[in-house]
Amino acid sequence: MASPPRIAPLLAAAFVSAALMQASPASAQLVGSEPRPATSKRVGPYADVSSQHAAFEVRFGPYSPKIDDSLSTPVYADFFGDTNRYMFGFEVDWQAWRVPYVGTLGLGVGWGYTQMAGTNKVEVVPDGEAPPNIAQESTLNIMPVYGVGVLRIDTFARNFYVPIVPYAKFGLAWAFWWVDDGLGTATNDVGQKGRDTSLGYQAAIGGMFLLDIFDPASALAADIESGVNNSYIFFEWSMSDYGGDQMNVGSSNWVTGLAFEM
Amino acid sequence: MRARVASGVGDNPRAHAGFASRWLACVLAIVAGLLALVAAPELASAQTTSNNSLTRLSSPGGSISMVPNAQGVERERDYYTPTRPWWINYEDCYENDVFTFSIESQVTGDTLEIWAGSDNCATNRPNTSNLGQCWILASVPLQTRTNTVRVPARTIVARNLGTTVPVTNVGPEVCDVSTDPTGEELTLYFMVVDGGQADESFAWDGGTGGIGFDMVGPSPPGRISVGVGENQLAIDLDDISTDPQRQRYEAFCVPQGTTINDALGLDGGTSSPPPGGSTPAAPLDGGLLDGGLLDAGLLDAGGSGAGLDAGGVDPDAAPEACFTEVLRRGGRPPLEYRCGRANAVSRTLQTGRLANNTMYAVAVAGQDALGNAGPVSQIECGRPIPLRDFYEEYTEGGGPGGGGFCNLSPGTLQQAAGALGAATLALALGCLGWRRRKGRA
Repeated sequence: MASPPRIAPLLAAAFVSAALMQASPASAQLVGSEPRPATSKRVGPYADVSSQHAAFEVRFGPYSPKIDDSLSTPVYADFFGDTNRYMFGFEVDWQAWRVPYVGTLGLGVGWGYTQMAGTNKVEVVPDGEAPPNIAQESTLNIMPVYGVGVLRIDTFARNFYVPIVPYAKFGLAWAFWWVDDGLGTATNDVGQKGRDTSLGYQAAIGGMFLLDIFDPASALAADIESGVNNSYIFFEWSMSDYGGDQMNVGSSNWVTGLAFEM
Repeated sequence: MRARVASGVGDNPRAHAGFASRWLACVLAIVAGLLALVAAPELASAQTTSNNSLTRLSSPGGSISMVPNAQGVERERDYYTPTRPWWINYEDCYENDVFTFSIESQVTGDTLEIWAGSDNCATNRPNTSNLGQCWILASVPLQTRTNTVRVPARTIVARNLGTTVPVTNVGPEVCDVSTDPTGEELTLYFMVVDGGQADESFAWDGGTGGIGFDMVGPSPPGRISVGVGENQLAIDLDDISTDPQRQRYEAFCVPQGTTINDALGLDGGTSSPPPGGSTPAAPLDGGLLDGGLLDAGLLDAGGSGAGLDAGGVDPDAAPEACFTEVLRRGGRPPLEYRCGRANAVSRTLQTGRLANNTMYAVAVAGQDALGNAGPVSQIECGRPIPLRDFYEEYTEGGGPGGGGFCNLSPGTLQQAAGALGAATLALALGCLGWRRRKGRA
């Protein structure tokens, strides 16, 4: 959940952006030499030429698996330490339905990947011997895929010149994870391979800042030439959890990235 | 450009079709790109392998001819690289690879001679005192329509100048004579000789890849250090000198105490086995005696050792903690003890699977594009030991999960069923919304 101190700057940015949008028509009128059709609107960030059906996100953020949550001793923290690990990913949404006066509602699928490495541990150091120079690492790979319902409330940007689009997502996630012990897939003492999938949920709440306001003319050109209606930078609080009798490779953390509506 | 300004999601069926076509074009472009990536090496390979074949080489009068690479030229060992299929590397020489030439003849009674060199050997053939850089490889009487001539690789490498009699039974020591790291490119001359004169001849240069020999490997890293793993060692490579011949590094791991007899398999089968996963790519001696230890000076003629300093310590020998006779700094590496490789830009090298709690002498050599291993680096000791990886720690701490991607526990099955139901419901709602919108349109 977005913490209160982060809301103030966002609101300030929103007001500044609204002021910029009021100033934008002057520059926008320079766009194109053809006479405008009678039905055309003022060129602004939402002066879409092509229709809009999808959103594409490039995502990046820290990732701290909740593996230790279900363990009595903090194995993950002991092994991999507390340094930040990052996940990158993609998401594609089908904006299936425009909710009148609200925004878009659709379905999205996403993919992410992260990897973390930690030095393997010595089983026994013989008495009198110096600890060996261990140069072998375990790597934990986590690759969640998820399907979510996505609500993007773009009425503020579309109708009130506030370039903020709040959104929320909720759905199911399926995370592949595997451990490499330096030679191959790790195996425990009973011969069980260290790879599996975990099933859980994925949720997110966040806001997108409409970048089109900085250069509406270029945004319009992008719409005409490549069908990209709107571009955003987004910031969200992402939550995933894979509880139960499985490795909980979920995480609660912020995610940022770029989004494009097409 | 459409003049109409679209108002948003789903209100423009024609634009919808345009959107679909854009995505289709994008997907097709990706598929085409992937196909191009897959097909490119095949095409390149086809170009590479088409260079030597199918052009019949004949002497001007048609007395002898050969179709290169259509059973006209064969070799017993597989070539190391398809870009230079007729080149001879150290292992080819040591193993005494044999080239077989099938020469069709229209005449009988004369002699077929095969020469190698960089000069025009057919012109020089009458003047045996001025053979320049030509040497004879084979001489056989032309008696049948198809003449099969076998030429050992060592005979090619031997460069026996100043004679018209082919040298026979060349020993493996010839493989260590060459010092040119770039090797020597040759042309072979096939001659019909009558009365000491080459009546007719044709030359074969091996096609695009050429033919020649290269026995010398590139320089090793200046310094190595060894880290420990379970069933594995990790080698850091430092003080790397520039060597354009170096294509990769190879590591060699020899168990402590391994003797030359062990390496040669002369101890009745009780010797230390080579490291796990390494496949012998050379005979049992692998050049240890003829091409390796003797040349490296470890064993002199009396077998008493060499290169000792004033204190009686050989600075190039393996350290005492992991001493072995078969590995020595600057010597040829024992090929059957290969234990890992890395490309030339790597600064670390992970070995393959080794035995835990066994002390190994470890060294690294450079390797060139023909597979020649150069002299080995300094020797370090390393002993793999059992370690605990993350998954072992996790399961020992009571962590659930694992067993494979397709491993479904009852709890997971219930969750999967619930997830499938929820996903189906979401999809149905989505379809319903779409149909309603379509109906309105």
